[in-house]
Amino acid sequence: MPYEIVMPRLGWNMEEGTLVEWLKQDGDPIIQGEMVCTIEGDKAAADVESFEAGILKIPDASPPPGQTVPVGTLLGFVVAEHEIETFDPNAGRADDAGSEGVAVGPAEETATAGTSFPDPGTGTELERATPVATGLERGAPAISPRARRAARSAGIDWRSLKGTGRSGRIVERDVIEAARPHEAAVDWTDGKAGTGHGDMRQVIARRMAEAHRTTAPVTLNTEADVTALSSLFEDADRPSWYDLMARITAVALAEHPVMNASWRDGVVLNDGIHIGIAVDTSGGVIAPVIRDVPGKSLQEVSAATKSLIQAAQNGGLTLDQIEGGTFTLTNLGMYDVDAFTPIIHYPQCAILGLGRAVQRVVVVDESSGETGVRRMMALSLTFDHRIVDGAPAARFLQRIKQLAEEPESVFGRADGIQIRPS
Amino acid sequence: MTEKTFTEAAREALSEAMDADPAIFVVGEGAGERGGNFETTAGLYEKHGPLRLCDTPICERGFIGMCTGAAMTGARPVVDFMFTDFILDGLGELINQTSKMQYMSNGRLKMPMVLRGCIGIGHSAATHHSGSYYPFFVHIPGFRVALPSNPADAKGLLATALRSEDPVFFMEHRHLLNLKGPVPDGEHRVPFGQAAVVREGTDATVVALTVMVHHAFQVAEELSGEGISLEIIDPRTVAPLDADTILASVRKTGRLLIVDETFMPCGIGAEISARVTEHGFDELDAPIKRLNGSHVPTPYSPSLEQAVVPDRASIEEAVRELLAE
Repeated sequence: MPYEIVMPRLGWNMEEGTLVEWLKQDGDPIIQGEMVCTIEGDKAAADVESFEAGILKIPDASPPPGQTVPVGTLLGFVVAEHEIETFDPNAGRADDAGSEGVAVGPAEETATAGTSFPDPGTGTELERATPVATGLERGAPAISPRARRAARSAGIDWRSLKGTGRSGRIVERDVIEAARPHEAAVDWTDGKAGTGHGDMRQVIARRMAEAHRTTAPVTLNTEADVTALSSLFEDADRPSWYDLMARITAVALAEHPVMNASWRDGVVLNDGIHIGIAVDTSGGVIAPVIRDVPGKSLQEVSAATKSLIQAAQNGGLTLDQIEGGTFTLTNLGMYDVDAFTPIIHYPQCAILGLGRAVQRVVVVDESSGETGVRRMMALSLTFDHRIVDGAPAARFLQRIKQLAEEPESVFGRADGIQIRPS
Repeated sequence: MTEKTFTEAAREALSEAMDADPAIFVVGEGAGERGGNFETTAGLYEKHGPLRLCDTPICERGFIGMCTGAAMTGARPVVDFMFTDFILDGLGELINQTSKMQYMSNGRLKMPMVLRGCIGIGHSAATHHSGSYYPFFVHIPGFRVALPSNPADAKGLLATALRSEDPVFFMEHRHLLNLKGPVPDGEHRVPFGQAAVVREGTDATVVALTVMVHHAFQVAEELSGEGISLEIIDPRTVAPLDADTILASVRKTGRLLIVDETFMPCGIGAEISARVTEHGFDELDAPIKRLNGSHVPTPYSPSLEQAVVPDRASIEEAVRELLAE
């Protein structure tokens, strides 16, 4: 019985896909496990593997490259050599009941197939094997529990990964590899970015699209007078804005735990405060996580930030350095950006964007209208309105502004910096 | 520390305990004047005499019943079976009386009894003298099962057994009896339910029992040359079983192999595998693998005998299979 190649389902939400190109041509011999065509879903491109050996036959009704078709659409057949003589690719499908085929059928289909187990006395090995093939063996790959957990916490859609375990099972190392930042495979010769499964652009694309699709984002903007904060540390070893704002944000998060929550089929409050910092690397943006910010002194936060940024830029971050964040900071101030609309690091509740800290003439005394030169920083808080409403989010941002304007309450005085957190 | 054989170390624990506690006495075939078939009691008869080193005829069910009665009434019998296979002749007494007496008396009676004997395949002893059978005893509530893999643990676990209020099986693998190793001088006790991490590693966890600890360790040393890092765990007692140490290791490695000479069905590997799946499912990066002796009566022929027990080659193969999952 010929093996059917159908449009696979790459993720639970994928309903249709595009046949990008055939990697093999009609009549080509196929080795078991060989890639026969490239398809593209809504989030990623993938090569389709043949799980049987034989000859590739492409029926006339197969969609031409470039055409988008529903999941389950027949693309071609792989026919055993002894069957090729009598095989007609245009005679229709063996099972023309209009099912999604054997490739990536949902669980119910497997169950149905199981009940119609044919009489073991009839048919060839292949015929008997095909109806009971589980969905996991075809299309949707198998994944180890440990790898699934790692993918979940790294925010990676594992269904598009290629497994290196036995029979293509996705194991932890595959997730680590996919999460590892490395150079995006950019092929400048034809102006197209590469679509290798592990490349960082793919991961970022998936994450950003997922956050955009699933969250209900609202961005609030305000300005904080950071004159005191920026003059607090005069030494050469001055901490970065990330260091200062991570400590300030941690204090505010402790007072507003819902802002430190995550969305996992509902609001889940997180125990620790672990703040990610967006870092621009040659491969793309990545947000390594400063663990337990309230438990760290400013100096410890500063040391952690430095080593995380360095590791990010060298591509040396490990999985546990990028997972488990509960809130994220992003900074575009160095590029003269004021307010912006950061995208939430899903499934976190919120992200705080730091704008530039620039000197401006502002009213310093409301009653007299007296003006002065102050250093002002724009703050942009994007939050997930599913988790928290506007007013509590605004109170959280206001608290950050207050703490930034009265830094002694967090850091002590410049001449007597509190090294340990209060 | 003094270098001693496994048997010498265990005998030291017995001797020290007999000196300290006059309620301890040993029964068994050849346990008296002869000093034990495997020298388990050598030299003790001269010191303590025939009442405390009591030779018996071949009547396992009889002396297990007698010792159960002695334990109920305040003595501390040590039954030396030579071969674990012959414990089976007294199974009715053991399971229906010895294991249940504390429960039936609402805890008023204690059952401080040590049941010791050789286990293991590998001396052309054929199928009636090669049994291990410890999974049976793990299954029964009330029993403790100690499986020392080295001289220090032989002394420490037997010392603990000789102070236990519960019936303890103390199983000595024949391949280990003459194994030498450093043994702590003076009082040395190894608590029950505390596994030893014999070797630390990151790629896979290998839980090995008794003599398999040594085979697994050698495989780990060899494979470390290829950059494969194995963590070896010796549970030391299987009732109680220290699942926490195994789970902590699997949390680190994500992969688990259990190597045990006894039969696979319903064995220690099955128990460990189930516990890890129940409590550490999300830690697993591969299916748990078991390597056991073949599920057949032990053959007499040395070459066939070799074929039915795990050895270094089959452990190495199992490790490679596990890492390829």
